[in-house]
Amino acid sequence: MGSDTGDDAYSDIHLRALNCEVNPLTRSDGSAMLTQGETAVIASVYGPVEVKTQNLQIENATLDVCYRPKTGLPTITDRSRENVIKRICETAILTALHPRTSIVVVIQELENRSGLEACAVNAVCLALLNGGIAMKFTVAGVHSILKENDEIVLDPDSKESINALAHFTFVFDSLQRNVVAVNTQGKFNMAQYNDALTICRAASGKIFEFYREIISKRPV
Amino acid sequence: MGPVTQNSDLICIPGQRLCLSDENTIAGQGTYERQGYIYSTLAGTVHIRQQDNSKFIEVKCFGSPTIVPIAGDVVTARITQVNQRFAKCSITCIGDHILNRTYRGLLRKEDVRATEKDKVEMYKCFRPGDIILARVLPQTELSCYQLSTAENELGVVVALANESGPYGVPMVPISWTEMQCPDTLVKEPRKVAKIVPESALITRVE
Repeated sequence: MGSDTGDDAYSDIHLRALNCEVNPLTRSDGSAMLTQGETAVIASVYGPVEVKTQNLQIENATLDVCYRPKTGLPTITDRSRENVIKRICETAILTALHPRTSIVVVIQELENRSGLEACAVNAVCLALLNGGIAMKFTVAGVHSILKENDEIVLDPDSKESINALAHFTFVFDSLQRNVVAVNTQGKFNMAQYNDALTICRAASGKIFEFYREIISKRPV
Repeated sequence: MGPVTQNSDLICIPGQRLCLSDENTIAGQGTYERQGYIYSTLAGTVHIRQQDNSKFIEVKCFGSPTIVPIAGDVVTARITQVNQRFAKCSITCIGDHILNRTYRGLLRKEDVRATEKDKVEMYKCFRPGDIILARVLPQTELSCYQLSTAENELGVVVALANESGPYGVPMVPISWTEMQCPDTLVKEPRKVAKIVPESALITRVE
C-alpha cells in the first residue's frame, strides 16, 4: 500500500507540529480540531441531512459551508475562504451518492498564526473522514512563503510571515498529488511559483501520512 | 502494494488504491473504479466478499454508516399529520438501521391500499402518533419522500387509543381494518400491517 506517486523529491521537509483531536463535538456526525503549530481550527460535518427546497439538487447532495472567524462577524475575506473550501469539498465529496440531501460543514477559527487556509482545509478533510462521508480522494493544504532572498519557506509561523514577498497556499489530492486549489498573494515570478509548488507537493505526503495515522488510531 | 487477503484488517482512507480491477474483482460498497484500479471512498477497513467466482472489494466505515432512503426500501415512520388527501410522517428507521435524524415522508391517499383506492378515508387508516411500516416510492415530489402502504405487510404496527393519551397501552390488531385497546376494549379503524414473526422467516436446515 505504498504511495501512488513514488518517492518524494524532498526528504528533508519540516512542517509545524500537527495535532488533531478527533470528534471533540458530540452532536455532529464528524468533527476534528486541528492545530498546525499555533494555528488552530475546529471543523464539524453534519449530514446527509434534509435540504431546504430552494437549495435542493435532484442528482447531487447540496454542500453548505459556514466559516466563522475568531471574533466578530464574517468579513469578505472569510466569505472568500468559505467559497474556496466549498469548491474544494465539492471536488472531493461523492455528492451523487446522496441526492436531495444536504451536507453542512462548519469551520470555526480558533487561532491564526499563519497558514490558516491550509489548516482549515486539513481540518475539514479530517472531519469528513470522521463523519463517514464518501470521498473520491482526501485533500491536503500546504502553506509556504517567498522571502526576500528568493528562499521558499514551508509552513512558516507568524514571525517568519511578516516580511514575506509572497504567500502560496496549495491544496493537493491524494490520488496523484494534482493541484485542487491554489491561493496566492504578493509578487513572484513563474520559477518561484514552480519552486513553491514542488516543495509543497512533496510536503503534502506528510499530511496524507498524518491522516492515515489519525484514522488508524480510531477504534473500529 | 501487498495483496488484500480474505480477512484483511487493512485500514484505508478515501482515494487509496486497493487493487487491480478485473472481471473477477469487483468494486463493492465504499469503493469506486478508476483507470483499471479500485479505490476506497471511505475511511475504514477493507473486506473481501466472495460470491460465485467473483470477489467484491468493500470498505466498511468506522462508526455508523451514512444512509438515506432509496426507492424500494421498507421504512419505519411516525405519522405526524393527517388530512383527507395525505398523511405526513417522519421516517425514523430504514430497514433495521435507526437514523440519527428523521426525514420527511408523505403518504398519499392513492398509495394507502392496493384495492378500492377511491374509497380510502385517511382518518380511518392513520392517526397522528401511529408507527407505520411503509415502502419508499420512486420520487416525483421534490421536498419529501413518497411512501406507500399498499401491501399486506405494510401499514400501522403500533397505535395508541385516542382516549388513553400519550402514555396508553398499544392497541391490538383484531382485523385488517381495526385495532382494539386491551384495557378499554375500544375499537378504532386503522390500515393494519400483517406482522410476520421473525421466527417464521428463519428457514431451518435439517
